[in-house]
Amino acid sequence: MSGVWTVAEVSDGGIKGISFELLGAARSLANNLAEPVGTVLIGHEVANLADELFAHGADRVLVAEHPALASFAPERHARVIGDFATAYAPQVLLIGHTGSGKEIAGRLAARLDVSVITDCVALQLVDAQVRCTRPIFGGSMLTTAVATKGITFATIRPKAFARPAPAIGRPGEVLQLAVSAACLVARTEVVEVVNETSTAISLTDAEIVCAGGRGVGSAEKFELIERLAKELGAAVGASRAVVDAGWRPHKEQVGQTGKTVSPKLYIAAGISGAIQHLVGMRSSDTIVAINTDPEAPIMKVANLAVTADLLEVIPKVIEELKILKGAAV
Amino acid sequence: MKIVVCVKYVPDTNEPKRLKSDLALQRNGVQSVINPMDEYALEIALKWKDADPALEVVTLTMGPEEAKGVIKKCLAKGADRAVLLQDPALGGSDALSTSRTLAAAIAKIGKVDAVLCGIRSSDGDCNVVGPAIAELLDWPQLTYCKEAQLDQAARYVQVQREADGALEIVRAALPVLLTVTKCAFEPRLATFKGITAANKKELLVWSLADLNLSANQVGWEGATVKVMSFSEPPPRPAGQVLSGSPAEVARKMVEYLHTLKLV
Ligand SMILES: Cc1cc2nc3c(=O)[nH]c(=O)nc-3n(C[C@H](O)[C@H](O)[C@H](O)COP(=O)(O)OP(=O)(O)OC[C@H]3O[C@@H](n4cnc5c(N)ncnc54)[C@H](O)[C@@H]3O)c2cc1C
Repeated sequence: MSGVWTVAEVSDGGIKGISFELLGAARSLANNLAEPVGTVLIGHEVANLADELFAHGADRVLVAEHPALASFAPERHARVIGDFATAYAPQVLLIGHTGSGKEIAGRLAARLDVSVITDCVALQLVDAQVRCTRPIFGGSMLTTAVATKGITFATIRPKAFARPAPAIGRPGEVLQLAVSAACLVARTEVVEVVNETSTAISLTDAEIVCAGGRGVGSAEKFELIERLAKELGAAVGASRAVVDAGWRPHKEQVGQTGKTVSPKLYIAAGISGAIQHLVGMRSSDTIVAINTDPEAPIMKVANLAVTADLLEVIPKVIEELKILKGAAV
Repeated sequence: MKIVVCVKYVPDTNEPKRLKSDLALQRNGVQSVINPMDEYALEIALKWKDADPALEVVTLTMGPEEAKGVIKKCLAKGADRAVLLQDPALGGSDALSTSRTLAAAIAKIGKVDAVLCGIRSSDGDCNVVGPAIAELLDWPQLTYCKEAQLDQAARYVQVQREADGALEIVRAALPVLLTVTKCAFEPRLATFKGITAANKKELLVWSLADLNLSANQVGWEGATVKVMSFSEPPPRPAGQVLSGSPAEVARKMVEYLHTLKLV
């Protein structure tokens, strides 16, 4: 077994941010282990993206290209990565705890015959073992685990590791992985893709999330949250109460039965902070709560607890942000 | 046609979490519930059964004796029978050995056309078990399903799934494994009649000996991941409180964000 390996995520012909965060996590482990960092890059005509991975810390990029791999398909991708693991016997394999990463983690664990340590927020090398720390019970506790047989296979929580500063022109080695016919199974068929929201910032990728709850008052008034989000370059989030009320789609729901996010900044406006909501956002770096009730549970976890009517304050915040932007140009 | 729904028994999110000295979860005295996402998986299967009462819905749980309470609720809602996997040898299973155990039970149940799982559990939150079962059975998977239609005659399932940034309509031929996320509908409640009927339904308890697995593939022995320690997350620093006129509060809030270089 050798090498610390990551799997890059590609979409719309570009490398997704999580891929660089994985390199950040891999680089410090690899330095301590005195092992190289490799990245598996899967797709169609993606080899040109290798330089960007080298710049962010990869020493080797293993390219697996095929037209049938142009879009993400869990079975195919899991098989390709499985073939890679058989050929290269990685010591450590890191993938993103992202929508697509979660789809392949289980399949890959079964193929590699080792379990996976999911949603890791810290990795530490102690006595030649990689200790992986992950939140459980929605972040109310942390647990540290190690792989005891063979490869350490972990999924990494988005935004938990910093993206390394790129060193443009850093050299690296490009390797090719032959894609076998067995990898190209197609047992599912996409009939239709509806409601493509490519312009909106994805909730789990966003650096800033601007979330609204029942306190916003109505579906129409949510426009205020959207305006604030736009001003901040943020993704819009929602509590379950507003999703259940039909004000917002479920894909925006944060919490136990929605998404887990850990952005740099989470603004919770008119959200009470029920435990089922908190588990989805309490690992955010900075939490700002706007609530008329100073005793609301969200105010206890907030770094900045703003006791105010959101309908009055948010328009003013938007004004202030515009002034700030105006001053910057 | 036969559908298996994997149902996990989890501690209630509202309850404080305790751990025993051997690092296993302290479950005694903690109120336990059906894993919320599994309730939606069960609801999809029961909707299929509403359309065709001949469809057989079997729930599958790996868990302790106390899980029976949760399983009875599933039977009361309309599942036909239940299998509970219970064996001291299963203690300490990791995500893969759990999947291996469930896959072996699905094989033993036999002639299963579809398996439905919640996308993740509210306690372990691994998101692994569904796809791992699919791989072990060599089945395709349809993940993040919000709605699913079963076409028994043509033998396929078509789902609406919440993909990254888009809603996709995808289909796969049976047998197939579905992972289910929160749906637009709420799971049904058990009726009084259902609760009475549940007492007469079959609740099979299988041990490791009933499965085509050896002791070194499951539990502590089969686990390839070892938990070393648990800890409390670092407490969040005490927050600042802001109040005053909207204009003043807004100015201070933006100032705060600006100081932290967030805006
Ligand atoms: C199994 C299960 C799973 C769940 N999963 C989730 C989940 O994934 N995500 C989730 O969010 N919830 C989830 N919930 C629901 C959760 O328990 C709460 O009911 C929900 O989060 C409440 O939403 P809210 O904070 O928007 O509404 P409320 O609790 O009604 O809070 C509204 C808040 O707005 C404030 N407010 C009102 N007017 C104003 C104003 N003008 N200006 C400022 N503040 C104002 C109020 O003071 C209050 O604090 C789940 C529940 C269960 C049982």
